[in-house]
Amino acid sequence: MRQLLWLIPALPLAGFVILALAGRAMPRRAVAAVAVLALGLACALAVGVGVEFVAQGSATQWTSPADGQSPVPAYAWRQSLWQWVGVDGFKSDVVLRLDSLSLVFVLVITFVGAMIVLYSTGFMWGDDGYSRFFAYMNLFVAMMLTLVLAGDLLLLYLGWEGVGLCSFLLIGFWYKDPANARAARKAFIVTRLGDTAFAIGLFLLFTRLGTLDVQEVLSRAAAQWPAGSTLATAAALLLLGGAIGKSAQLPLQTWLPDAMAGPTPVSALIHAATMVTAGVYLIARMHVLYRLAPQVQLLVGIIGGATLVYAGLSALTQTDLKRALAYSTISQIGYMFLALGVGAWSAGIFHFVTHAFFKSLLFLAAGVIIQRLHEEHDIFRMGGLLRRMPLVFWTFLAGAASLAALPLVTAGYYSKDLILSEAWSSNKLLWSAGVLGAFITALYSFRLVGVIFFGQEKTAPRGRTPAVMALPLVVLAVLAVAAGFINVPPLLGGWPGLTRLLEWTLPSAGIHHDVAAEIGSSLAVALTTLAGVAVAWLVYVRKPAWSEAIVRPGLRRLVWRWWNAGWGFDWLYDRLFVRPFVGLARLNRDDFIDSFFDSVAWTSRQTHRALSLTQNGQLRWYAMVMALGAILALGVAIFI
Amino acid sequence: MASISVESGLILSAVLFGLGLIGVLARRNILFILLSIEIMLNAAGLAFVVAGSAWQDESPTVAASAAATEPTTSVGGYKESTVPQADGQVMFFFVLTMAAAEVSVGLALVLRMHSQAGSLDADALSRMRG
Repeated sequence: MRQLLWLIPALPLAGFVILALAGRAMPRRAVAAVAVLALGLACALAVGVGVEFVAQGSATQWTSPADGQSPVPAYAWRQSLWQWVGVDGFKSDVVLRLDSLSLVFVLVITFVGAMIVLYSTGFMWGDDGYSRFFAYMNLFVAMMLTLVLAGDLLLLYLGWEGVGLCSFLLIGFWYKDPANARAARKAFIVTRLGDTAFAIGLFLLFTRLGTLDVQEVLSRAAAQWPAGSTLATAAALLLLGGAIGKSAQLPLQTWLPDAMAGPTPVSALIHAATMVTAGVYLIARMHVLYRLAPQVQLLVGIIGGATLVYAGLSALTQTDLKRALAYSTISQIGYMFLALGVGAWSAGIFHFVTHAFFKSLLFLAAGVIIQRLHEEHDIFRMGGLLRRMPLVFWTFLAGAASLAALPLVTAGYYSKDLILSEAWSSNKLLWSAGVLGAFITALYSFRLVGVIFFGQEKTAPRGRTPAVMALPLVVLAVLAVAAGFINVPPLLGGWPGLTRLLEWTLPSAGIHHDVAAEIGSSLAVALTTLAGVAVAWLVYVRKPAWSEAIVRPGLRRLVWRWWNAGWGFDWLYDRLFVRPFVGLARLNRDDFIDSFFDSVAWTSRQTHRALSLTQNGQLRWYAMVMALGAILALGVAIFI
Repeated sequence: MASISVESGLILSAVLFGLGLIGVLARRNILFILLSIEIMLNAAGLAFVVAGSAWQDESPTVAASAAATEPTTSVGGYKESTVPQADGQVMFFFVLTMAAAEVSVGLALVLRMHSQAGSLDADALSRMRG
């Protein structure tokens, strides 16, 4: 199994190659089979590798590095494939590295990826770009796996840019609509801002530490840079720039709501479950650097806290189902950042796992609803779907409950509770932001449930949900509820397996166990969540008139519209960056450096025109000129 | 025989040449242009004849004096330099034959032009303008 590690990213890549080269000539069933098989096999292989990894690892260590400060962790498999770059003083290998952090990511990516691709075989059935879609999807999964398995930062960067490219291609999948192409460009350019910072960070790491190998970088950084030193801070800040771009955190979050222009399975896989969490992965991967730069780590937490409240309030005011879910994704990744910021490393990764399940579930259910309601995106034109789509209702409810973190019965609760109880002991302000966010989350997720499934039916759904689309919904719904049980806190009589596993790699946060505070935090989270659900139920199901009263003209409506537009960030960036840039470009439309070369061309063209005037085809004119020339020549010869 | 001065001969020749040139430049009919060219040729021929009769004894003398300065390399032909030469008149015959050849080609071209362009107007043939 250990030797087969390279096959995990190679299988989806092979699927991509087959579909890209021969996809157009293949029948749809064959395309679907190749796409699903590639990811299914990768998933099965990942499970096999994971089982063996955990079995071998637990024999050597079931305990975390004692102080959590140790940068050379623990148990990892390394597979060096070949040397990629080797010039004087610079060496970079294509090397895969599996530790418990990347194992968790690999399992989630392959499993959720396989589920979503299975779903897409039904969802995209009538689309013209069937094979193109699955080629992109497989390429995306291959790149994402490269990203998380990379043992070298250059290879990680390859995967990082690869997923960005796939995101661009898939947002603009229906490229014939200019709005979609525009959204794709926006996503690409905005994330590129972060990626540039990331690349500069890599340059800094390489010039200062002389290597790009992840483990080497971490151990050398810990050895050479004292805590709080300028270089460590700068490196951590630059990598953070890349992370907030990819993970759509403030202030680079504007691309994600627009990225919903892509097909819904794309939103589920790339813009909810996997790619947008790459920033979380990067920070967790480079955790030593962030521990060396405590201010930057605090900044991570502050960004997370601000983003989760910001995006939650925006999600509350959306009427487009997919945009609401997109803001919810931004908000939930804010929770992960908050967790990383307060040092709750494994709690953040745990939230990534549960979020991947419930958010992809919500997107897939939304895809079914939208497709069966004739591409209707507005939740206020849905309504009353409870009786018409019971399966979708129950699965959506499971996802929404998990998103809202309904206490004890959902996966989302365990991860959010873990984050907030660790935030409590570290930073009260961030904790209160998280609790406020929990209230907002519960409110907006049950707002969606109430508005879509209860009340009057406004649009009649058509057709039935095909089995290939229903199956992933059910599986993910089960996981959205049950995935939390892999990490039940000891307080509730459970065994936190995932946390223990992650602590092979990540520093442990749970040194200071204050049971009373933990219980208090959990109770607060549970109560605010229940309060949010109750308010949503009251406003959107029992008394729908109230929800209309909220948006009555006046100040409240103004605030509502402000939040609905994502707090005007798009407007601001448009004024601040886009328009000046476009203006400059327009000013210099005829590239002023070109004007010199243009003038040369102009002069020779004018000369040509003047000379060709003399060639007028008139015989007598020629004779005249010859005579004049002769006279001139004679005159010169005689008189001069 | 009343001799005619060289100047008046050359002036006549220049006047003829000018008339011919004006004819070439001013007439549009290709036949008249050819006629004017004949006048110019004849003006040139007249100039040759006038010059030939005026300087028939002198031109070899120039060569003989050149030969006298350097007798060793002189060419023997110049010994009979005192015999009058008719160079100008000979040149006129060349001009005549050349004119005859030119007219035959020119008239053939005029026939082609008439059948191709349907006109004898020189300005009508201006298709090769730039």
